[in-house]
Amino acid sequence: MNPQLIYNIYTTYFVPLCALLPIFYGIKNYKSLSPPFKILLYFIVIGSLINMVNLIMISRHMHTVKLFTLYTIVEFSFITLMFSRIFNERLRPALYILIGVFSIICILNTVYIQNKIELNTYTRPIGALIIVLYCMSYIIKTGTEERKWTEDSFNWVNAGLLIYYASGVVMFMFNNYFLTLSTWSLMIWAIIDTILLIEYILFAIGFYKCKLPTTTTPLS
Amino acid sequence: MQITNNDNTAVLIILAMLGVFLAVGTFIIYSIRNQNKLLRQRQEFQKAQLAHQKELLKATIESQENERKRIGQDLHDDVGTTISGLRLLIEMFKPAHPDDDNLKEFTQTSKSIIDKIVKDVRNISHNLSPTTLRYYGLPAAITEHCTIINQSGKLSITFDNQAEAELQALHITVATALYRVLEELLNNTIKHSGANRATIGIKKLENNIVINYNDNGKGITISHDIFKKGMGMQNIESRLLNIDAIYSIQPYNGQGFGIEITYPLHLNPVTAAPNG
Repeated sequence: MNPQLIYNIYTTYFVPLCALLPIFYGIKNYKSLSPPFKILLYFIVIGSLINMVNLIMISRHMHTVKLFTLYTIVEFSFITLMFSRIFNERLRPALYILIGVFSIICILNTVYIQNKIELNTYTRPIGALIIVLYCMSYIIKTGTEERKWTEDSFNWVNAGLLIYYASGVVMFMFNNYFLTLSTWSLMIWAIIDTILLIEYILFAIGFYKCKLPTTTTPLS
Repeated sequence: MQITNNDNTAVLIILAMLGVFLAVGTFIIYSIRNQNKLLRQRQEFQKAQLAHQKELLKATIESQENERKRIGQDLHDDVGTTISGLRLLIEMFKPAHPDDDNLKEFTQTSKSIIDKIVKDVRNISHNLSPTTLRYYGLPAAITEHCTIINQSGKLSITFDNQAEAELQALHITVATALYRVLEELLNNTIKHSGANRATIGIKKLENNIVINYNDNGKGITISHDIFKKGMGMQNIESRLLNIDAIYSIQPYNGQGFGIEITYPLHLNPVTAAPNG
């Protein structure tokens, strides 16, 4: 079988379709979902729709780089909103302001700085680093809790986010180097897709665990 | 093959991505292990605390039993003997006017009162330290206790024992605990339930002694939580906890009170001393 075809099936169909796995468990256990999980479910659904539009536009040979700005804003906003429900309530206004500021920076970056056929390699790594910061805070705060790690359904989601955004931050910085279809860039895209697949699986486990009598305690 | 700058950058990025992936993975695994270790340590600490509390409970119950035994024996040997002596003295007394009716009546009344005191002292002594349990084992002690209650007319008890050998082989600590629990249950039935019948069924099921206690009284009309906080029930619970027995109270269905006690026989101390 042609390796290029395998690559195309893997990155264009298989990995994006794996998003259905957490969506399935999220919808199945919707009644048991806490607010952070509901926000995560909406994010996966909206993110998948943007990805679908992206793939359709690529198939019609249209430029999709502007879509990445929209995705970056959506991604950061939803994940920050989700953590605002996890962290102390007093932090919420600050996080809402952060969403606003980040969105404005993303738009300004797209309009005035990276305004050609470039990916938003300045703003996306910043967003990823802030998300990594959220994840690390959650681990530090819950690290001394007296219960099994696997019992907290949000631990799975947090691990998925941490692995994806920490591993991807370097790639997000150098995205523009790999817009050409060289072997190396294909390999990098395949690696990040595989990490995305791991993230989806961890999300699915998190949603699956929501129906069990476990809770995610808000951090105070 | 010519290696370009772009290729170099790509290799570095792949290495960086994989490096970060490994570092994050290791960090997550480390935090999982750390959290699980903390949890295990906490559980071990709680286990040790529970064991310590159990030791304290055991010591309290043992000292209570020893004290009861001492008081029971003192009552029986000293007070009982003295009162019997007093009765004998009255019997032997030779009055100046033996035909005096008042004196006869006084003597008769005194002897009746003394007889009642002797009987009461014997009962109290028996309750404090059931000698039957020590010398003849648990089945005999339960039978004797049931007979006393049956004779009093307060309650009609049916005792169905299908585990004679196993009960005889119980260690005195276990036998005493089960005896005290049954005593407490019967006491509760007489005092609070308004029942006129009770049944005690003991059988061996797999490797357990299973005791079923039922009465036909009004049952538990208060919540189980409040019921469990009562002194009698706490006493039962602590005695059962001390010998690692478990119990379950039948849910209230308007037909009396029922409890099932299970004692795992493999926990019976090897140095079985049914006869004290």
